[in-house]
Amino acid sequence: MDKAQLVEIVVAAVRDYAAAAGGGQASEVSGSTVLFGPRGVLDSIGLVSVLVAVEQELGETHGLAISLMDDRAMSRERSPFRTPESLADYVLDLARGSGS
Amino acid sequence: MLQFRADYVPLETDMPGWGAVALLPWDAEVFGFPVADFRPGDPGEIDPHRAAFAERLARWAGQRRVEIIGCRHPPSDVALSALLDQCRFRFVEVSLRAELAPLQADRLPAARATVRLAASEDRLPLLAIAESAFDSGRYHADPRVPTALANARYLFWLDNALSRPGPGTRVFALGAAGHPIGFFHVEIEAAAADLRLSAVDPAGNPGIAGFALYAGVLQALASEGVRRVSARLTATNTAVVNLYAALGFRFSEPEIVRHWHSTTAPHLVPLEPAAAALAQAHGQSPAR
Repeated sequence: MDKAQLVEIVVAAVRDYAAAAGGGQASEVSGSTVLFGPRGVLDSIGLVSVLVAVEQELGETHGLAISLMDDRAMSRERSPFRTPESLADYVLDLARGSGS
Repeated sequence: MLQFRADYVPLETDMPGWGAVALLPWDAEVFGFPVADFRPGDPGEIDPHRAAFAERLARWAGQRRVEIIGCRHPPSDVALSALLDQCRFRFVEVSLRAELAPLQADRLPAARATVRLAASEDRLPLLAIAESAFDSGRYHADPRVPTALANARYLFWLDNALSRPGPGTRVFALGAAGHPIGFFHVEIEAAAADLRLSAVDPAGNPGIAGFALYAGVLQALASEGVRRVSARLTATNTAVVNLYAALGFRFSEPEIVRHWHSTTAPHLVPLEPAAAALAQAHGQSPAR
């Protein structure tokens, strides 16, 4: 799986969440959309929901069992959850075994 | 030894229906000036003597150099609400009680990150988080209270929980020992836990720390045999309200929180700058 596919998975999860939450920005989400923070499209619960959805998609469809919400993610100096692209990079790191 | 018990006495001995007042020694120690709490009585007994009530309250406060008197009441008591407004108790915030019962580990989200009891090497970083992470709560919401004092209250709070724990005191830390990124102060009595104070480092929060902290603490409490968990939280902090809701808490007992301020309050923000801060917060020009 390459980065572009991972970005698509994340963007789809964010769009699904935004649509379910009644947000009007679902179609505007892209790889560079800020996910969390002052200008982010998700609050903390939204981010957790998206991460769970991404974990499930990776596990069920792609056979990739990873945890996105553990000590490794929180110990990083820069949040891996800034954008769909940075999250895709983080998934690739984890898949390569270099997520610590 | 710091006293955490407030001794309420009638505001006016001859008029017990007016309500009761108490000094709050813990807030006074942090702020450096006396702070009090007022438990309102029957509005029907206050209203006919409104001026005398207000005068008695100001005299009681003045005799003790009290600069802030807090007060809580149900929003449904509109008669009391109007009366307190007329007696210079200004609206500060709305708080809610949150409760989760029964607490069942198998119904909680899995603890994804390390949540453990705080260790001595966590002390300084946790105190730094406590002093910097908060922007809500009744003292932060009161434009008359300097932000530094409101921040100091939380620093003092956590310091006290860490240094003078009771048998039911737990301070949980999120993250590696010596490098925590969040904390939760909980008091446990029998099988019930009161969630008192929590925060995550605003600088190091990747967005999931709050959820990880809450899930981890609830799992830890469940494994300790706790069956009922409650908290009182600020209704305006919707991120935290949503977090509690996502974890299955239910909300009840809304309370309006008000503050009375002494007209001669040397430690409080003067009225004019406070009004300017309010106007700025509402996106208005202070000049208007």
